[in-house]
Amino acid sequence: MKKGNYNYIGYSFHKTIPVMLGYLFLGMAFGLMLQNVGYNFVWAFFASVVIYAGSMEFMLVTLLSGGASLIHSAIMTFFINGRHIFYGLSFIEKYKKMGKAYPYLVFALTDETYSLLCAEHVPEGMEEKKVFFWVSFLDQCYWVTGSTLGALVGQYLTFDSTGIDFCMTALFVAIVVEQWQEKETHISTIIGAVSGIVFLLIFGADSFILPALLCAVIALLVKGKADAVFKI
Amino acid sequence: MDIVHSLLIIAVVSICTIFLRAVPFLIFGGKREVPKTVSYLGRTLPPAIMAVLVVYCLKDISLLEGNHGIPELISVLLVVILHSWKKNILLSIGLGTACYMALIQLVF
Repeated sequence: MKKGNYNYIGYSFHKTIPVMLGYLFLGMAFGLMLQNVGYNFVWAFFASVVIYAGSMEFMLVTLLSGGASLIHSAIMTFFINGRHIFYGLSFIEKYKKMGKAYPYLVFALTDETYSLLCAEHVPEGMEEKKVFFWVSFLDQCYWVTGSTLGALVGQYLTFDSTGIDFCMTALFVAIVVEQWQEKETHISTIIGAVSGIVFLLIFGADSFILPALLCAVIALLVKGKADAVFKI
Repeated sequence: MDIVHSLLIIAVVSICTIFLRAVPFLIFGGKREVPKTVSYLGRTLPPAIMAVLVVYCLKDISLLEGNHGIPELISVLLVVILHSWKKNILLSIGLGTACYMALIQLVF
């Protein structure tokens, strides 16, 4: 490891503490579930290294234990992770300049990493690409560690962690509050919230997120066009 | 347990997930300039996505039964107030989560 990387690790570690808490505990829950259906810690480790998508890995437990067909597995993945199509849109220009880290950054763009990176303002004197890499990489380390530990020792834990998953909700809420400081994007937050709630009521909890995101995209495009037309 | 089939399932899920994350980069990531509409979306979409993600996290609340989502409501409000006031993300998340855990484990 080159000298100077330590600053980046320290800085990124501090930024990722909220995700660490969530990923360690959620990862452990996933590892324990996998262990319970007969797949040991090697599977948990391996699955979290190559898949790295929280909610999808909980579905993976069901797919594996039920011996699902490959087509079914693919369809479920598109259904659950389809929202990720929209995340990269904010980072296209940025990630092009990321050099060797580019493919990994794309691979590691989970909900939580996306939200941290959206809120990230890299301090003067630090290289953005290194911060982005370490934030993404540390997040995956937490998830892999949690999954593996959960499969190994999850069954011996007695600490009542019910409700710890709320830290992910709290992270997203805090970032919405931060984004709310900027007046120009109020409309975007409102569009997201309204379309999320409306589509949740129409389609139900399991299938609202893709239509909600699509509707938000369309609403923003319409708003952009209208702004252009009415600009004085 | 069929090891080969299990490995294939993991491979399929992995490849599909990577593909989904890579779609915008595959379409717009080349040498060409990014279309204006796309960079406009790149700038304006994140707040909408974060708001949808908050709804996503709260999607399983049932307002009519059980605890009526009161623990979630109180804890989300606490995070909003703390974060508008102190702007310290660890404090907001730590206290918000502690509040939620206490509410659902001890009160509701």
